[in-house]
Amino acid sequence: MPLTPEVAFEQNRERLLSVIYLRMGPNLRVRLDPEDVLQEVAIEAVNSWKTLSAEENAGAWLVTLARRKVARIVRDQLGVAARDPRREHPIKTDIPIADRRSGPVTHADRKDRLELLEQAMARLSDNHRDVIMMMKIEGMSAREVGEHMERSENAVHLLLSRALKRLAEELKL
Amino acid sequence: MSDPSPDPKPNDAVSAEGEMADVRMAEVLSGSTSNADLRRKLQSEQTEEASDLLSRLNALDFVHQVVGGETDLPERIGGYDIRGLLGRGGMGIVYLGWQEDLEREVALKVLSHNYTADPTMRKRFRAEARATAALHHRHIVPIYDYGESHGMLFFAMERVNGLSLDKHISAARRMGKNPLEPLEMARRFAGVADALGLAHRRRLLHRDVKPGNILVAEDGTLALTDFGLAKALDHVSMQLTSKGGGFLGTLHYASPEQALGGELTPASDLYSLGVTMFEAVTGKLPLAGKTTEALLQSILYGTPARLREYVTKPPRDLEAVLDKLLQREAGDRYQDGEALSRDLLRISDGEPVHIRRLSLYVRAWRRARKNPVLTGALLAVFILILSTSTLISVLSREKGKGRVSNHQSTLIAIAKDVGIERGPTWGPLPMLESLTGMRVTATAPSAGIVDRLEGAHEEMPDDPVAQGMLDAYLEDPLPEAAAYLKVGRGYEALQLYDVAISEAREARTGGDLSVELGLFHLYLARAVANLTASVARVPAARTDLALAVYLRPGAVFPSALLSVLDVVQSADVEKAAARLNKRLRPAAPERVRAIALLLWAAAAHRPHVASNLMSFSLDFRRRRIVHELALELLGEDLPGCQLHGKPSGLAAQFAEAGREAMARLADPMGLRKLVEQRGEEIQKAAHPESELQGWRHLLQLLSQARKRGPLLDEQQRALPPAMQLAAWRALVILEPAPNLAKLWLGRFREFLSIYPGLPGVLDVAARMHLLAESSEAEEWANRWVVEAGTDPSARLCRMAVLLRQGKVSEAVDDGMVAVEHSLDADTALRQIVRLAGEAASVADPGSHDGLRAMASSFQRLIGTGLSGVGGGR
Repeated sequence: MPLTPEVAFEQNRERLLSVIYLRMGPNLRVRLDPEDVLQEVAIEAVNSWKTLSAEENAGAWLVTLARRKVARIVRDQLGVAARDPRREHPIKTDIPIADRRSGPVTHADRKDRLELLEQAMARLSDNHRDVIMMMKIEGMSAREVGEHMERSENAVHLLLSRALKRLAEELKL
Repeated sequence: MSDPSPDPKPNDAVSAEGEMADVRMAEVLSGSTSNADLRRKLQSEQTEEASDLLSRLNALDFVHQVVGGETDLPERIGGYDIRGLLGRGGMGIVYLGWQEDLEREVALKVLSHNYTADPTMRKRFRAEARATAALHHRHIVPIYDYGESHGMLFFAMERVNGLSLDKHISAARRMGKNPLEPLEMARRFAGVADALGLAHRRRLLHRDVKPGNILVAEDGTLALTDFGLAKALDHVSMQLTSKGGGFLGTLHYASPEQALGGELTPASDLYSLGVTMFEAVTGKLPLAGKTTEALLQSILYGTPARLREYVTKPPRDLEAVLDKLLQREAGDRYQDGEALSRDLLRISDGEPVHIRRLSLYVRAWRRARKNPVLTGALLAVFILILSTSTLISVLSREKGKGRVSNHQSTLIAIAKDVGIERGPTWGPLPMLESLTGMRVTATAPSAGIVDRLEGAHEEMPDDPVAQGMLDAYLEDPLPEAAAYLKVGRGYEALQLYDVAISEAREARTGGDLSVELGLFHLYLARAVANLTASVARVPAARTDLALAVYLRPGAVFPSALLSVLDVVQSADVEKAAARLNKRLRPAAPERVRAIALLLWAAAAHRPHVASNLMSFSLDFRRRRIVHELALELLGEDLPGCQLHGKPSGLAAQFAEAGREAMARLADPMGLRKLVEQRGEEIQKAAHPESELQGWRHLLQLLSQARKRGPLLDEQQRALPPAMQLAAWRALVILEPAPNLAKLWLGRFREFLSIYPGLPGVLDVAARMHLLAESSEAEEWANRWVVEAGTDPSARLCRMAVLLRQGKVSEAVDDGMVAVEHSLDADTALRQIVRLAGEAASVADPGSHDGLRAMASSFQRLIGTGLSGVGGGR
């Protein structure tokens, strides 16, 4: 029995949401709810499921969809955003209403952690931020990241190792 | 290991040790060493390098926690191969299963392992399976199988290929499109409405209708699923929270009655369907709020948006259908799904439908009835999170491996445990005391929670949150307001709580969990203040209680108050009382006692002298039902109580002022001074609309004995009729001597001629005429008896009138009825003996002997258990 898009989506839900959340950044999140973007990715996954080849990993494919989706949104919104005074002073969005799955505390907990991670990552160098994002959040393999960054697999692991050291410093862990 | 990295080393400040650590960590990352092995090894090492590596592992864990790994799937459950994950619901996980024998896919819903040991949740899960299995409908996802495997409860449903409606709505909203065309929506939802109609005919409520519970199949057909909250219509008194804590259902789609934990009907499900339909067309909710509190306010008091605000030229009939579905009063909505389904089909076919729209007048009146104070004030945000800013500042000061995130997790875990804690059954002192007048002993706060908070504080003394939480957990946030509450001065307490609550909400910008803990107490206390006789605003109290329950789903006291309100405000008190009684059977004795004390006070049949609970104006029959339930639950009579109708608590103090004034009628100067002084006190201590203000107007009445016309306020405007009646009732309670009562009878008659049908006016009229020895006394007593049926007070009043007229045998009849229906026959007998004795002392010789005989025959019945008159209890 083949894997279906709904199943693949649910299995990667948290990861996709983190990718979307972090890729959107605080400015864009003021105007768009990452949850809505996530649902859009789900619909797109259903519609373009046939284009996924048999040997491709569905999770990676979904992350690519999510990344492209956010990239498109960023491009579409850039013109508007540049004129928007909020871009300079991002407004903290209201905390969404807790749903039945997560009470107010757990919900806040998860969001808090994402926000802490985002703030810590913002203070890393581009290389360090990219390697954490690609490998640990988007779930790419060291080989794929290496191709992107023109490095060997070993070098990617070493870079990630250093990036984690810096992240730990930023998080005071 | 070579390092071909072209990465330029930053100033080569990296030590050899650091490089070693880089490499060791890289080995972990490339998978050649296991994370857990390394961590164990490092914990025993005391080197710089070990601590460096541990912090990197911590950072890695942090990222993993945020992202969450792929979900581990079980291989097989029951007779099904697990092929994937379809979703996570409130109670469990839905897997994609494969049934080998029949070669078909199924959706397998499995009760979450958090709940498998909880008998309530197991029961509820079974109920869902049973509820759904009973329904065969094209628009309800059918159930195939139900079972248990390795301790896991599951049921298999048809696998619908497609996503749930919320995903479609979300995606359309993102793209700035409307999810469904209005007519298309009408056509598709007709089936869902019909499916709900079937469930309702089978006496099942869904209770959680929302887009997430409607699946969209590949051909666009909608199917209703997740009867997880479904409940038989026979016991529909849904509480706001589940036993395990947490809101049952989704607030966005909840009807006003559901949001307040009131009784649900099929119209409640249809309301939720209305919200869903509205969102399916517009992508927006008809009533919105950015926070839970704002949303709750909006649902309770807001006016729903109309279709035309989001859709250009919507079909008028469809707009009317949605308006009707979203009415605040359940009675104004559609009452069954079939009728709605028929109308939707007609709309999609372009045929007209006939919906009775509420008249403009009714709509305007309903709008005006909205609570103006609450509606305007509550846009503020109140769900609080651990303030990131506080944490960051702590982060920057504290050095330590993983301490901060551990500390944060600890605080959150404690907050969660406080949330599900039962708390003191009596509520924090002096809440129950104020309402019921009964003394209770304080319950010590949970030592476990205090210990853990103290521990968290010691662990990180610089973080103000832990200390703040401890304070908020242990201390009364507003002792001066509590002092008012204690003596029943709810109105003054209310004003202090109002200020404190709005300040707490504003403090949210730097807010933390301690504010949340404090808010629970404030909302609860304000609810109690709203329920005192000096305020008497039930809707405001219900809102506050709903918020308190939301903040601490486990707390027993607020839900006890809600249960009591549900009974005394129910349209069918008898049924509501029986339901509560049944529900309390397995409850802890302390909880039963708290509810019983509240019921006792609410019945006001024999209120405690210090009770301050507001009057619910129950007629005798209802009062009796509630009182008998309280008595049954208590198992004993309460001491310190008095007869129905006597003022208690704060009202008793006001009555004392009235008595003093009555005694000074011959001293106009002294009277004026007294009226001024005590009047001002009462004005300050009671809400302007509270009936307790009647005591102040009584003082006016006493000081202007010869004045005529309606009672006036300070601006010389006539008081509202109910307030005038409250003043007259106060006069009757003081039982002035006949010559005094006659002074006011003329003015009272004027009032009576203008408002003969005012609720509660007959009993005041009958007693006023009796006191004034008026010739109309019998007529008014008759009218009261006709209205009140077997109410012993009405019978005793008429008996007194009849005795005075020497109609002994008719008086005996009334006396018998009074004794027979009285809850406390001996008290009634004593009253009869006293009244007959008094009548005998002034009677002419012809009836004197008869009255004496009557007194002594009733006297003989006292303490006999009443075999003679047919049994009172």
